[in-house]
Amino acid sequence: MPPSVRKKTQASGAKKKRGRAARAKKAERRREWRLALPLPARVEGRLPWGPEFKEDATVENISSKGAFFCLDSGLSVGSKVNIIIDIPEQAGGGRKLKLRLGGITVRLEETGKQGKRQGVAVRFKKDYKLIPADGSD
Amino acid sequence: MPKGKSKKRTAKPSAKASAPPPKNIRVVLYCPSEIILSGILKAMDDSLDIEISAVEKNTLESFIDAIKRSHPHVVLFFGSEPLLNIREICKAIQDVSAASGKSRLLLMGNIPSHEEIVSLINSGARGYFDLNDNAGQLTEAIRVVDRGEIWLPRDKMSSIMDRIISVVGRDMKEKTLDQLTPTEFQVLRLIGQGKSNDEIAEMLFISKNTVRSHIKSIYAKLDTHSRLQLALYAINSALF
Repeated sequence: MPPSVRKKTQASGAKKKRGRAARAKKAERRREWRLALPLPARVEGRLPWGPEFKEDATVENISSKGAFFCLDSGLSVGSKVNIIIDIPEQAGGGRKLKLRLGGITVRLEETGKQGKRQGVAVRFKKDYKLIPADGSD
Repeated sequence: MPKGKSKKRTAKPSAKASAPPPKNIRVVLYCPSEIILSGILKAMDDSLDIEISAVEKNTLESFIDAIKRSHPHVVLFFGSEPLLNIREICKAIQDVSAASGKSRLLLMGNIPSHEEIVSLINSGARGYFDLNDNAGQLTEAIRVVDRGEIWLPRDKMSSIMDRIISVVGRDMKEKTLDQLTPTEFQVLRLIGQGKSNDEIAEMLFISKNTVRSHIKSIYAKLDTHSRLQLALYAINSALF
């Protein structure tokens, strides 16, 4: 095979490999399992036009990297939010707990479930805190 | 191919009719409601490959006898009774079918909950045809069930799949949690309760280094990389 042709095929092969790798990477980027934990939560933050908001929601799924839930408040991508999830006594060793998480919205879905306006995907930024329910609010 | 069938086929103008039906599917039908029964029979009027060998509208005993007698390929059952009864009926039909050859059960009804449909499939039904579905699809549902596949209404399919995935996911998770030793499991539970390593060490009467070692082992066994994920696992396993 002439060297120029070989180079071309090598280059296209490498490109194909990179493309395949990129596709595989795109298809499976999540390292952690998402758990369907339908727990009640309060979402707090600031709306894109300024005012603060607090809204009750139900978590649809969650991992250590992020969560998905539905909201009525019109958030935009990049909004900072705090999520406080109620952990029932059953899981908290006989005490009600709250799981506090901070994050940033990374994706919005137009129609959320349960009559809510938008589905919101949040990537967690801050470290989490598990605190007793009575002392948190 | 039987000659009688090809004669019938020539009378049909559609292109579909020109394809020879592969075989006759014998169906035993149970429907206590006259109006619904006439609708079912009308929906199957044009199908050349489906032969209704018995129609029962009286008692379930006579229906079961009809299944035993005619060894149908598909049992079409319209259930207007409470779900618990339908579940029992599914099991009874499955038992009879197992004893008398291959009969597959296609349920008809008006069941809104996908969970109940899943439980009926689990009880032995091979398909569910909703009364709100297009009547023209009934024959297709019978053929699908006869082939050994499962027929479910399209609108219920996604929620049923979600349910199945969540159940399968839970099973996988439980398997993984089974790998933990009792102490590791205790450590995981305490992480789920928001305890620090120091607190865990104190509560379990072990050193902080042992706690760290247990946590490292849990990370490896659960293939996870963060303490939050461990907490979520613990919460999930305690709740579901």
